[in-house]
Amino acid sequence: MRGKILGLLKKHSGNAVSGQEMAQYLGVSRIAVWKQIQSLKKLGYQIQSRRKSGYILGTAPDLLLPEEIKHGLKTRKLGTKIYYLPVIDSTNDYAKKLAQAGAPEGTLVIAEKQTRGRGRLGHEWFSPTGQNIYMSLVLRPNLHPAQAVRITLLTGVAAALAVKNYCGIDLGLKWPNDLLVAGKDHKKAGGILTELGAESDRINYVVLGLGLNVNMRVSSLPGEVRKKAASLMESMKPIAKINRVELLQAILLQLEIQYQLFLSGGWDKIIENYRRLDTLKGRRVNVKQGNEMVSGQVAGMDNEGRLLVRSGAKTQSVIAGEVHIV
Amino acid sequence: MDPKDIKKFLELIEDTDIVELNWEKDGQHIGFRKKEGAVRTVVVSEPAAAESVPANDTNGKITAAEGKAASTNHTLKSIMVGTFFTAPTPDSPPYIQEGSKVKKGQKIAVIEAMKIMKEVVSDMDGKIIKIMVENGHHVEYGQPIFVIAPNVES
Repeated sequence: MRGKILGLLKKHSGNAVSGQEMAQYLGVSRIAVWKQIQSLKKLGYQIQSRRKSGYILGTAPDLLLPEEIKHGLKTRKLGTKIYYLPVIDSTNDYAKKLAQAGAPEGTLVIAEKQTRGRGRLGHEWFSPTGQNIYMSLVLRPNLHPAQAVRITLLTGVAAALAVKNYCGIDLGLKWPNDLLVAGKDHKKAGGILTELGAESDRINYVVLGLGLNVNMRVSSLPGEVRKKAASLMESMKPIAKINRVELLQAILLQLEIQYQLFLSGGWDKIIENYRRLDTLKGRRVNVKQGNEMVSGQVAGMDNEGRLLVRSGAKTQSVIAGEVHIV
Repeated sequence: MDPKDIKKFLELIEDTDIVELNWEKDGQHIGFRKKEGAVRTVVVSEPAAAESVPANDTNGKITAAEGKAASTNHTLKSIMVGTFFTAPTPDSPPYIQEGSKVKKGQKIAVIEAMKIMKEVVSDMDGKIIKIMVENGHHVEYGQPIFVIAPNVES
């Protein structure tokens, strides 16, 4: 209902729509319309009320509201159902519960702030309010669980392409799940954390989590993290605030394109794009795989997406672990 | 290790398909590789208690445990290649330990590959008899990771 009224106001952008008209169109009372207008104002929408002509929509609040995301979203599946949470512990945990309760593919969870944003193995992900994008998607690909690792990689490709298209910023990828702002210091602007629910031979669900520093001031972060972090806003030349709703729409669209490409046999194309965006090739790295350490020079990635680390005549392929550049 | 014990070991495995045996004294680990490839590591017992146990007896124990596992216990296998973790973060306590009672659907470990986290859940009510992979070690597809004794219906 709130979304429908907002839709009507948007359709008449800049012109007044009367409460009477909207009430008739939606088959509700004028009081009901008035109540929804008040709730929109409370969310931060600028709405002028004119005595004779009606309501005029002004600026929208800087929030990732479902009504805003859906308006102009070009995807067919991703984001058709949106859960919007001003504050949540972790969007991935929330999406996982939805997935376990049967949420359909494409269900999107968005938060303005995470209180327990997570990276891999409990690494904290700093999540200040209303500045960045914290999202989790429920996917249900009909694949063998071993194929799920590719979703992390294709998400990196999709996010980098969307950021390039929408903001004009070149992002690089650090295998397997980090989004870096290209440049000599390779600071981290985002990360991906994918979680899998599966039986032995088929995937039940994949929860794909993406955190992206958009309009955050890096100087607002705690000391240790600050040195390694970047935000998209501060990577714009000149520095400019980014419309988070439109960026999110661009990411969802790219994700859908890459995901469909993957499901329809286009993995080679995705890995080719990953190689182009990869920042690790030629670097000397230590990879900590649990308790084991692999050291050497990155030779690239194999077609499965595993990292190839060469040490002398020996090349090892790495599927899991934390990569440290030395 | 006493050469006599080594000879006993070799005799014991002669008619099996075991092609490699690792034995570590202080940690009391015995690992063996079967023809198909996967290394199985079995923690036999606490070091202090194991010191006095002759090697052939120790080996006999494993055989007995394995035999039992085949008949009544259930082996949970990895459905993913990756790194096996018994705790959510390096600093937190493990999800479960050997001897822990578990419920069907309870989270008992995590496997990670390319930042995909796969929760390992118990597929039955029962008791964890063995954790067959050490925290932080690599697991292969189909590798046994837990031995669970199902609750006996009364």
